[in-house]
Amino acid sequence: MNRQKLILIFVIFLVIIPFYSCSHKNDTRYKYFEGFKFYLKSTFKMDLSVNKDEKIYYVLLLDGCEPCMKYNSEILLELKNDNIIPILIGKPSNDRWNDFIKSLKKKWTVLEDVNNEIFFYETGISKPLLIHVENGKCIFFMSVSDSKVNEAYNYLSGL
Amino acid sequence: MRKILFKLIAVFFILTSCNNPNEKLSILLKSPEVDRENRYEVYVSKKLNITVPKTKFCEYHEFAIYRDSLFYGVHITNSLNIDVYNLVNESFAYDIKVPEYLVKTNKIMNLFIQTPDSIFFQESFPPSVLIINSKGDLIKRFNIENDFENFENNADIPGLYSFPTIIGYRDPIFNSSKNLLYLIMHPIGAHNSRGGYKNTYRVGVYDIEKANWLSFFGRPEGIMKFKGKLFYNYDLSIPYFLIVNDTAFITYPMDHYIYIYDISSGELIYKKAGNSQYCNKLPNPLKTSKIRDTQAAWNFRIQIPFYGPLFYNSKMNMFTRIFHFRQPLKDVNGKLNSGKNRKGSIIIFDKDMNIVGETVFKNGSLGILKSLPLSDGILMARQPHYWQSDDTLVYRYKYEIRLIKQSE
Repeated sequence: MNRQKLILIFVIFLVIIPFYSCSHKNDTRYKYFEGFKFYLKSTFKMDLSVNKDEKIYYVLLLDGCEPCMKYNSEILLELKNDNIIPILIGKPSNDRWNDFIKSLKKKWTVLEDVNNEIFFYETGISKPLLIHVENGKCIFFMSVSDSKVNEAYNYLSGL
Repeated sequence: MRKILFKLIAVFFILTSCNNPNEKLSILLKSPEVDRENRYEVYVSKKLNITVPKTKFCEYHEFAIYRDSLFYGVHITNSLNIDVYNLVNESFAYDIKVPEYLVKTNKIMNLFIQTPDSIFFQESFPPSVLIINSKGDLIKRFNIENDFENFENNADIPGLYSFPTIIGYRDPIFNSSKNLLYLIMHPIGAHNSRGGYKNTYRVGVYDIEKANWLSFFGRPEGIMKFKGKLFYNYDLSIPYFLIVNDTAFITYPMDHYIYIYDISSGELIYKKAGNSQYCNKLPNPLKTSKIRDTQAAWNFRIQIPFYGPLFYNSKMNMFTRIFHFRQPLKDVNGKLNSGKNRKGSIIIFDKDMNIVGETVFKNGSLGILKSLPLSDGILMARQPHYWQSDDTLVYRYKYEIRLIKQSE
C-alpha cells in the first residue's frame, strides 16, 4: 500500500469517527445496571450475581408527581406477574397512596427504601424504572415516563 | 496532492469538532486574576441553642430571616406551616398556619419577610405571589403570570418564563418605598423568535400597586451569555439576586463575576471579579445529550464547584459570597458523594466589591444551602453529620466578620 492510499484511508477514518462520536445512540440497554446491582446488594443484601432467578424490578418514587403515581399504580394493581418485585422509594406525598402500598404488599414481596438510599447509587432514576433480570443479567430496561406506562404494561403482561 | 490532503484534514477537524466551547467561554471559565487582600475572616461568634418543639423540625427546606432576630422555616412535610424562632431569646416563637384554600399547590415557597406582619411567598402553579400577616390571613395575592400578558410593552418580552421555586435562595425582594417587587425569572424554551436566549431577562419588576409588570432587566452575562447550546444543571442556571439601596447585584452559581446594575434604569453599570482563590477554572457546561441523561447530569452536579448566594452584611457595609469546592464523585464506600465532607469558603468583600478575605471551611462545616445573611456575618447550619439531636435547630452557628490585619 503506497503512502497516498494510507493518507486517503486516514482521511476516510477521520470522516467516520466524528459521526460516531457525536451521534446520540438511542438504545434501550440499561447503562447503570452495575450501579443498580450495587444498590440492591448494599441496601437490601440482594446479590444478583448469586441469585440467578428471573425477576422484574419496578422502581417507583412514592413522592413523584401525582399523575405519575396514578398511572403507575393503576398498572401495578392490574398486573398478575409473580416475578415482579416493586421497590418503593421514599414516603408517599399523599396519605391516599397508603391503600395502594398495602395492596402491593399483598401481591408481591415489596422492597422499601424509605430513606431514599437509591439516590446515592448510579441507577439513572428520575422516572419509574422497569428492570428485567435473568441469570444475573439485564435483559430488558425501560425508564417509564408517563407516556410509556402503557408500553411497560404491555411488556409486563405479555411475559 | 499531499498539500491538498493536509488542508482537507485541517478543515475537517475544524468542521467536525463536537460543540467545543468557544474561546470567549474558555476565558470566562478560568478564574480571573484579581488583587485580593486577606484582612478579614469570618469566625464563630456564637453557637445558638434553640430547642425545637416535638411537633416541629430541626431543619427546614425554605427559610428566611428578619433583622437578625427571627428565623422563619417551612418544612417539606408540613408545607403550609411557617415556624418562627426567636434567635435573640433562643426559643421557638410561634407558628403561622396558612389555610389550605389559599395555596393551591399546598406548598409555601420562596419566603421573604418584609415585616412579621407582611410575609411574602411564592406559589409555583399558577405562578403567584402571596402576602400574608403573622396570623396567616391573606393580605394580597398577585397572579404574576396572568398579569404578564398585560405588560404594556409585551413585544419586548422574548418568549415565556418561569419563576423558579424549590431550589432555594431565589426569593422575591420587596422594595417598600417604591412598592415594587423584584422576582427572578427563568426563560422557558428556545427563545429563538425574538433574538434568542441572550436577549432574555433574569429579573422582573412588578408594581404591586398597579398589579402589573413595570419592567425587566438582567440579560444573561458572562458564562451564561457565551455558553451557546451547552447547559448547566437547572439550579446552576438560575442567578441569585440582591438589592442594596439603588443597586442590584446579579450573580450566577457558575460565574466568577458579580454583575452590578442601576436599579432604576436596569442598566449594567459594571462587573467585578468575585472569584474564590481556591478555584482555578469552572467546568465546561454540558452538551444536550449529557444533560438529558439524568444520571450523567447528576454525577456532574455532584462533582463540580459552584458559587452560593451573595449576601449583604449591612452593619459592616460589606458583602459575603459562598463557594463550594470541587469534590470526588464517590465516597470511600463507592456510593455517590453526599457532600458530607465537602470543603467550602466564604469570600468577603468590602463595600466596593473588592475581595478582602476568604475563610475556608473543611469537613462539611459549611452546610450546603444552609446559610442566611446577618447584618454582621452569616447564620449557618453545618452538614447533617454535625447535628447532635433532632430537637435542636440546626441553624445555630453565628459567624461574624472580623478584621484580622490592618490595611498596609
